[in-house]
Amino acid sequence: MTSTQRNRVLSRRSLAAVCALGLVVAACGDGDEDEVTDTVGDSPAEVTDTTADTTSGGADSTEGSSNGTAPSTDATNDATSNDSIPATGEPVQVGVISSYTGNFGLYGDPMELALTLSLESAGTIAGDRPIEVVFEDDATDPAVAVERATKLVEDGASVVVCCVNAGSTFAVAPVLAEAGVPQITPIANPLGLHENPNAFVAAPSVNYDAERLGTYAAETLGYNTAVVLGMDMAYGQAVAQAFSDGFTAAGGEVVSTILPPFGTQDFGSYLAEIPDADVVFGGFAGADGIAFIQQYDQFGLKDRMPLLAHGPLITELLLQAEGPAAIGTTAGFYYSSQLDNAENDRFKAALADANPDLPPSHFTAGSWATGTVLLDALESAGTDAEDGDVMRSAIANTTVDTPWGRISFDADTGYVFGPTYVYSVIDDDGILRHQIDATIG
Amino acid sequence: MGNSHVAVLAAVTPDGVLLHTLIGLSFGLLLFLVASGFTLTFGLARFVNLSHGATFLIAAHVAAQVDRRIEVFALAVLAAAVTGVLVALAVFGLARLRWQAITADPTRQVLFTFGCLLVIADVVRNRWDGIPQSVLLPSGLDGSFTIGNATFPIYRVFAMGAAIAIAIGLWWLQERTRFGAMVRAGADDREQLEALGIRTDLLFLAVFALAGGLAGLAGGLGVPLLGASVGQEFDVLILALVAVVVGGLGSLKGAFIASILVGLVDAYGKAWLPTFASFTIMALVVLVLAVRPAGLVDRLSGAR
Repeated sequence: MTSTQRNRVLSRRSLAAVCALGLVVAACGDGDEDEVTDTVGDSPAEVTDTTADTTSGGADSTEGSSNGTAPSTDATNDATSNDSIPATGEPVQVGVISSYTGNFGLYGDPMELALTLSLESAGTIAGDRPIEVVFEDDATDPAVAVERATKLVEDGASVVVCCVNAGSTFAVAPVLAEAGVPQITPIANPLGLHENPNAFVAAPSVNYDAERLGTYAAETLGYNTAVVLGMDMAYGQAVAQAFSDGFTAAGGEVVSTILPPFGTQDFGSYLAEIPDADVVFGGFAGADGIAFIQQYDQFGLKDRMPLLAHGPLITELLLQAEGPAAIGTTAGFYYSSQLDNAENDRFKAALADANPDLPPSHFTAGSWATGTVLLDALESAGTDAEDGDVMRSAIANTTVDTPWGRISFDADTGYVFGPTYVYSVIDDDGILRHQIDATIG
Repeated sequence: MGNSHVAVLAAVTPDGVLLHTLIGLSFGLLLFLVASGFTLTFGLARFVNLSHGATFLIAAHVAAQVDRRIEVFALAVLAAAVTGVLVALAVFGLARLRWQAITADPTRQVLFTFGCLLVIADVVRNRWDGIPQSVLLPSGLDGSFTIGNATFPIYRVFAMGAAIAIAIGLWWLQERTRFGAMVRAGADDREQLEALGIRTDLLFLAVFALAGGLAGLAGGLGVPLLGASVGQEFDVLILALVAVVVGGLGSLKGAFIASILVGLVDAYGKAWLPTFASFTIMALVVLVLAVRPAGLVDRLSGAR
């Protein structure tokens, strides 16, 4: 039988929330909160979410957890609906570390959904071995991610999919290398993982796309001067540096570099310090990105200088939240839902079917592609999937179709190389979407 | 990185000074709305309500939601204020169940209200899937105007005006009304007030509601400036605590001065030391407390 095992471990913050809830309950006079401990096994209960929901009080939660609960039920239904495919082999374990809480908490549920859908499209079976997936929450904290990775390895995971947060991805890599368990990272990350032969990234490095955009900005778009901004953490520093490298190598001049702290909400003072230039590059993601792109418009800079970005600033996941301020922003990136290929259509249809409110983005497309890589590699590894060396070469030799084209892992670095798409945000009858302007290489 | 430097900071040119001052004022005045509620509750009830940051968070999310649904910004702000009142009353109601036990010890207040903060923040994370929210400003408020070479958003001027109006309203409420007299009397000597036959529990209820409403208003007015995103509950709380501590615990006037000071230090700190923005604010705290340990306006010891 196939089953998607769920072991959503309470994050530290949720744990604190539970303690608080305990306090509240104690104050009310009845203190039984045993239900909020880890559940291991087939129960699809949303452990962390349940605790929050019981306290929701005034908040209306009619459409709240639609993303979160969908994959679990689908997975269990699927176990019965695929009886026709023979799954006679021993189950093979796949561990996934993602962020369900903390700064990147918004990515956890959509990425779990996409990975689950991808595996389900093949009955969650590789060859004749049913795939068991264990999802863990790193709370956007590298220390927690390391702890989760250690546990997954101890529990016999053949491969670990990790992580959303670059800090976690890099922290976990040596642990998995030591254990001889391959690691697949579902989304773009800064360069540096190539030091671990066990690590694979199902995307180009963030440096790769940002540097090519820098070159493109100077050579093709004809900009001579640029102001480069990026959030002051691994991701933002990497894209800011890479864009600058590409831009200056192609003859452009970076007149100012500004790195606001991660978590900045009021960008006013930084924006006021932006000197005149031909173009501005913004290396921001998540909530910082929304605040940045809106304030860039509010402070009148959008009318003065065009804004270039790396993909996440105008990811389709956040595009509607950014609103009209994002219109006209141009990004260089490996994925947009507007890419025209059969696998992208298959991915978008599956996602829309499972959750029509969830726009496709590189987060979910990357998880989907990771599922495809897993299916292919696990099948070719067969009964030797538990052997780290066999599994590693199985992944290294994989060539699969993904929503951004056919990929295979670079033998030297473990990253994927491919075209960089240059696209802009347009207003399509009141709905904001990407429009592909050009393809670099 | 440092591969290039700006020759002259905009913050030292006349236009730049005006621009940074306006940015600092707009942020500081918004901060005052959060800090004032916090300091009122503390001043009267000696109650440290850390859930204030989460009240801001949930109000900001509600404002964004309402704005997206019905596209009337004024109603979105109103909904945020109402949400703030309801959340604060819920926290008060819970605390009321074991009032003696919770208020007897500041540690318990901190634990209890910090727990409430985490619970509320998790409710928000769940309800909105952790996806940051924003509002679309109505035409008229969404533009910007220029001062010399600098551009400043019209909305920030509006938000400053609204915050100043609320600050004047608060001053009037505290200094010119019977309610304000009771609050001030309660802050100075609660037993005496109770002996005069004033029901302090109702007074507490009113002050909690007022504080929640202020945090809610701050959330609603703040969304266009800061957006609404999980994690804000701590950022806002810490800044409000800074304003309250620097201003002097329990003092509205102190909170007002300190909030503006924090806003200005933040604005100029970001311009001069871009990557050490949070350090400059904490440096302010250290400086002020080294010179005036009780804050700028020492209300509690009676010397105003």
